Amino acid sequence: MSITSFAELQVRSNFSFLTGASHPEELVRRAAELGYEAIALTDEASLAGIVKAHVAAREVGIPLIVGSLLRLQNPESTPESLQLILYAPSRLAYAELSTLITQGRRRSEIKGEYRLFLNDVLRQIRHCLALWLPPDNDLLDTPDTQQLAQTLKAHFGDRLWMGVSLLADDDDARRFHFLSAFSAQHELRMVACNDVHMHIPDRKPLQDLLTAIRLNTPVQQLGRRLFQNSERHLRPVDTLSKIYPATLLEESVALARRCHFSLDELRYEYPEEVIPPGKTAQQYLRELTEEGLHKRYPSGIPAEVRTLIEKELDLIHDLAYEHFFLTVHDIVVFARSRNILCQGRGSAANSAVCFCLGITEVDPSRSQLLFERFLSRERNEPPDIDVDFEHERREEVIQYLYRKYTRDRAALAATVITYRPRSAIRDVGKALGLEAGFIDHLASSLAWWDKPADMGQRFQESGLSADSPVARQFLHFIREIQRFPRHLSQHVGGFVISRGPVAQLVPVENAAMEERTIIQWDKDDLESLGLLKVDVLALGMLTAIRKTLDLIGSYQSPLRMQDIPREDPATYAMLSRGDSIGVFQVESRAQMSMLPRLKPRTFYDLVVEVAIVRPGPIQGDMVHPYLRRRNGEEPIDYPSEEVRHVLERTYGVPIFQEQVIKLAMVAAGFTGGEADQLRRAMASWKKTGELEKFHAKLVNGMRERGYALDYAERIWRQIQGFGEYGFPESHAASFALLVYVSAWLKRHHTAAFCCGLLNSLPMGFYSPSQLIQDVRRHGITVFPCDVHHSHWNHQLERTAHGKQALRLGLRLVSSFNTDAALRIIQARRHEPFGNLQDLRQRANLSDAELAALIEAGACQAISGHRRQAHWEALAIADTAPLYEEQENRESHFLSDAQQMEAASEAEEMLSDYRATSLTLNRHPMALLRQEPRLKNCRRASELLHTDHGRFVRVAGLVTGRQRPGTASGVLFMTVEDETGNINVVCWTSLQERRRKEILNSRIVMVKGILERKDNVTHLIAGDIEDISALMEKLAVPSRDFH
Amino acid sequence: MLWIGILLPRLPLECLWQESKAAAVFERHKLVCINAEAETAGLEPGMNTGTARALCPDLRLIERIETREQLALRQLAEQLLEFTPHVVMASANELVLEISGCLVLFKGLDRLLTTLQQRLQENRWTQQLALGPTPKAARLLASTFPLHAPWPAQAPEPLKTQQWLHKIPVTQLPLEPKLIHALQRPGFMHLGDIMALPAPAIRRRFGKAFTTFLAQILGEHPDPQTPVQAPEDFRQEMLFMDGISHSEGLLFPLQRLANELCHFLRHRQIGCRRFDIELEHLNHSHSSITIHCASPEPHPERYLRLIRLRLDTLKIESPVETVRLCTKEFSAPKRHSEWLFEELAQEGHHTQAAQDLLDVLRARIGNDNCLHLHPVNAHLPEQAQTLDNLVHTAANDALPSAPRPFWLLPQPAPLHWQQKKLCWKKPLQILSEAERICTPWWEDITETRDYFIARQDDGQTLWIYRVKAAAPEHSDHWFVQGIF
Repeated sequence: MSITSFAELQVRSNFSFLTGASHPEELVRRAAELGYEAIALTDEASLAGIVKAHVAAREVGIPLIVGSLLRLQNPESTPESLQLILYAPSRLAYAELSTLITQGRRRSEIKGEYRLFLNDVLRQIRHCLALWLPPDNDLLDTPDTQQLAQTLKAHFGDRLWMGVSLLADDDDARRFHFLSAFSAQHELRMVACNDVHMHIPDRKPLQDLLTAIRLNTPVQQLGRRLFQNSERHLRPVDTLSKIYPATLLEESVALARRCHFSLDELRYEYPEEVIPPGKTAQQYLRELTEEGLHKRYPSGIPAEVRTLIEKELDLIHDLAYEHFFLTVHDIVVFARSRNILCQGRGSAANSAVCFCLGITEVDPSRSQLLFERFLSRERNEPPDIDVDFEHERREEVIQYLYRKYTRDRAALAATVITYRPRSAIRDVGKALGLEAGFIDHLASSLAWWDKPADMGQRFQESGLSADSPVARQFLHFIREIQRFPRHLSQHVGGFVISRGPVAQLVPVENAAMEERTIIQWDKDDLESLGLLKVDVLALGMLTAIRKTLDLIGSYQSPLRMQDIPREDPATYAMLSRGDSIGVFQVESRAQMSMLPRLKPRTFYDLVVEVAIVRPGPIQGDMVHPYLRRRNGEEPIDYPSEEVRHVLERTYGVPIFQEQVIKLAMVAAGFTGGEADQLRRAMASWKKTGELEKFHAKLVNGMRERGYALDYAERIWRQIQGFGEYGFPESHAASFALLVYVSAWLKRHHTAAFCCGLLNSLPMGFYSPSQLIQDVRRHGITVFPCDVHHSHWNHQLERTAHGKQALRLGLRLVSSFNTDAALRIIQARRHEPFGNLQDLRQRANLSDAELAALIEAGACQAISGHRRQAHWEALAIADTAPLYEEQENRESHFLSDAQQMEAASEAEEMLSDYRATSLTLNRHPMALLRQEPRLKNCRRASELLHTDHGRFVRVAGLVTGRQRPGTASGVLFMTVEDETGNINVVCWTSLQERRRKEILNSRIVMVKGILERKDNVTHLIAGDIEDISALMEKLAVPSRDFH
Repeated sequence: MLWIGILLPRLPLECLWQESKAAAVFERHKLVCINAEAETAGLEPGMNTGTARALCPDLRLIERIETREQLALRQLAEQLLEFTPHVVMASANELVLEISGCLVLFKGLDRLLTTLQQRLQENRWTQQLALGPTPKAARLLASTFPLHAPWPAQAPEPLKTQQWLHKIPVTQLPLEPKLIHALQRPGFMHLGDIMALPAPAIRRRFGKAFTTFLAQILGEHPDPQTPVQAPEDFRQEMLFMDGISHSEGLLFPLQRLANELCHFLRHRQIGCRRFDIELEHLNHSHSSITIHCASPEPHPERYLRLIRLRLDTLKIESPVETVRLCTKEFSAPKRHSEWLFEELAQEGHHTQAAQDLLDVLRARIGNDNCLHLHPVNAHLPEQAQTLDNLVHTAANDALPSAPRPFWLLPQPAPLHWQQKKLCWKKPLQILSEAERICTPWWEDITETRDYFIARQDDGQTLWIYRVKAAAPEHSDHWFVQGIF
């Protein structure tokens, strides 16, 4: 008799971390290929891989059974643990299973583990089917096992099966004999299951390797802890029918047929509390929108805005997204009530409705024509609203969510942490038993600019032939293990909020952070199932803006973000000069050199500026055509009216992700669904390579509609270049608003803006030193840290002439703390400090705190130079043995009459850097200028007036090194001197010649050719010399010992 | 009193590595110690291992082993006891020797220093020497102003010593980093800056312990030292990170160790009739050779001859990481050759008959010829048991639950077909179902074997396996591997 159907019931994917050796999709597809009737995914106490399996199963059309393997602790008897697989035949059973996993996961104190007992199952599981995996032969006959079988049988009744696995790694005939006898005795149905760990036997080496990583032991030393053979894969039904009696295979199908549950049945149920009683969601959203409309347009609602609102509300209602908008609105209202700045972004966030609800400030009446707004019915994307909050206060918002919806109903989405080249090298190397130093070398020689593809080369360099078996295996595993999940971590801020307990929807587990819980699904999973999340994100710039606005309010009438005048020419003029240190998004080196070329004049230019300096547009070769066309140096061509409509606002060059999607629809005939698939493929094409399958479709589609092959291929290349870096216009628009606001603040309230930024660090690109040099170049006086004047934060003061100035705060002092600062401020309120002793006593400072203040130069006013102050402080320190001897008691602490010699200017400068990371005295380069070797070096400010193509020499501190993936091997070095920054370009040939100098120097001298274009100046380095030693020589006058 | 300070600046590296190739010892991803070759390549202690590799791709990186450093320093200290009984291990890489008592013996300071330096160079240590009136002064000077040949015939003038001491940078003082930092803050750069100030002002700020430290440098305060005790046994070793795979390679280290043994014996005026050479291999196994000498007189050449004879027949299975020479049996000229049987009888060890028999057998036919069969924790049958002469307790979890024969053939033997029956000498009949075993891929052999139990006509039960042919048109290969 030949058996033709089978359902595999025991399958681990790689979401049983470091155990399963295949992706869920691979398992599902393979099962379908083999003609299985169904496949279960039964990862251990986890449903983290189930959505991926579900999507694949939907595609290939095989029923997927949702299940999970649980190891139950059974402290009272032997065997100490028992293994049970539970399956969800129905939605109810699914909720039971998900809740049980949640309970086990939440109970464990160790992240990534779980604790469940047999009693939990007996108490809570009423609807799940169960498969019992019996223990080894010698334990089978014990009274405990007999008892256990009876207990399970009594609880589950006809929902219980006993698993039989014949894997040719033991005496299979004997095993089967034992199990048959046991099943007959206890009337248990036997069913075949194969402890599947991989979809094909070829994954056995990888499975061994994962075991080695999990057990932290080289694979060679694992011995019998590895599986004996590769039978734990999905075996053809034919093969199985030779191993198992027919009834055992039939039984698997019988079990599978009792499972009708599909993840498609999961419906997100929105929380109800965002809607007042007696109203429908539709009514309430309309009400709030109208209210907002009148507030936003007090002098009358523009007709086009009214039309837009009606269109959007219709669409929201059709797609039943009202609750989503109301939930976001509720969060934003909370933030406003606490004076926390926030701003929404994303496709839905740029809707007119969101403008009225106060979620965003992007005014539709002023920019309506420019954007592809909102969701589109045909594009079939879920609505996307990310809300950014001040980074220092986001936690308040999160706590609000937990309070309002309780921890049972709100949880963070997960992020699946997967293997990356570096982590793969470390773990694979260790598992293969390679020497620690060598692995270290490989992992670290994969410098921030190296590509994993160069690995073979690295092997060669380390003297290991790339053809040796170890090298071959190593390289093979590094590739194979990429994208394998390692563990779950928390998403940056995606919350799932539901009406009932979240745990009935998806298992919840503890995050690494205390008091945080995450669900077992990531954002792709949620998107696949059409479930919505609300993104609560942190943004430093919002903190800085809020602090700046507060500071402005201290010297003039209060200013709100929405009060800032629009389209201010002075602000655009400043940006066009590339004067953008501290400004949101456009302060990077690349952005700074783009600004003078793009010369933004309007808000929409900023939207483009934000999106264009990205790997996507750069690799897709969109930047230069855009600039040329904008400057009128190149004709703008539209092959058709449809294309003109999509690309007109960017001079015929696609800059934004939305344009590409729209283009695929209008020019190549993609349906909404297909376009959405294209969008997803773009987002992950580096990972999956699925983008390629759209190539023919796009090109053919465009050809059929009469576009030239050339044009079609160009569009395709741009899509490819976009890849995962394509930036959506909807996000760019919200960011551009913050660019404008921060630029305006920098232009018109320079001191306040710098102060706000400094008080919000760490954020942005620049160090306090760089920010302060910049603000001084803008004519603002900066006062040093001083115990008589400084607060914890930096403050605004006035100079003697009444001009605005910045006073550095004590937060800049390293190894200092807020409490001590507050004590100082408190103590000096009544009278200033007379001397160090007085300061120490009244502010109750510890030795370390006092030393930190002295080192930062904050005590200059009361005790002279640093060395003298330290000498005095040591005498009054706690550790000073004052009480030890009589003589000390009599002598006054300061009257040692020993005068310490003041340090040299260079040493003072070094102390400044050590203690506060900056100096207000002369710049190190100003000191070094006297060195004869630097006589011919030009200053940064002089370069502005130096001719293009001239050979020059410069010298300065290295403040940044960057090697963008987009700039084929070029390394950019930022060099700072006393007058400004110099951009140095190092080509690969120089990098090879001067690797050490480029990587290690703190101060360099560079010779090279000056290049200038569109007011952007670069120095193309010809040679680089490390001159760090000059500074040491300057600081330590004499070390001549002999 | 006259003290010699000896600093071994590269001890962490040199106790592990003495080859002339760029090498560095690291600890928690930071370089701790580097050799001259690495220094030339631009490396510095404290550098990140990643940076170091980037700068010097050929760099040999070795993880630090502090116990090795201690052992090496102690070994050296014990060796130097032949100069003076006052040898002190002053820190993790410093020794101080009090030599005023032995100047006469060595016929002058310069001679003594020459001999001492030669002695240190035998061990290939990078060293810095200095003389001082106190242990602390000698140490400090060794680290900052080491002496160089030509060696002085006289101890330096006190004034000169003081000038040197004053120039010692504060950062070189063997003090807590916190205290050094506190000294730097008011601007003290050299020891002299501090010594110039009144002691009470210093004591008030830096504490009594620090002023005592200063006084000890100058000899104004007692500074008791604990000298190293001469060991009772001889036990010295050398480590080779990459292992020595040829027996000739062992000669050089053994020559050095034999020399050390002779120094040791002569210093104590004793002799030795027997010593052991213990080898630790890279694969963590051990082996040893015992050398018997007819005469107890210390004699390096004779020792070396005996060693060479034994090494000729030595087969090194796995490269040798550690070579150790040790002995506890000194100068017993009246002892006769021993008859194990008689001794056993005298000491009355009858109860342990089996163990004794084993010992006797070992003594008679040689330990190498006495083998035990042990199960090994591995799947592949030929790796799952081992025959060796080591006694260890077998781990039971190493045994699979499926049946295994005790007796494995040295090599699996191919089976052949005769009248459509599998044969090994005689026809076979398969009794069991297949048990499948995959070979270890990391050894670059990948085959899948199906094992069966088979019986020959005469009742002999065999363990045979089949390897699936690479292509369907070929026939499978069958082998016999074990006999039940």
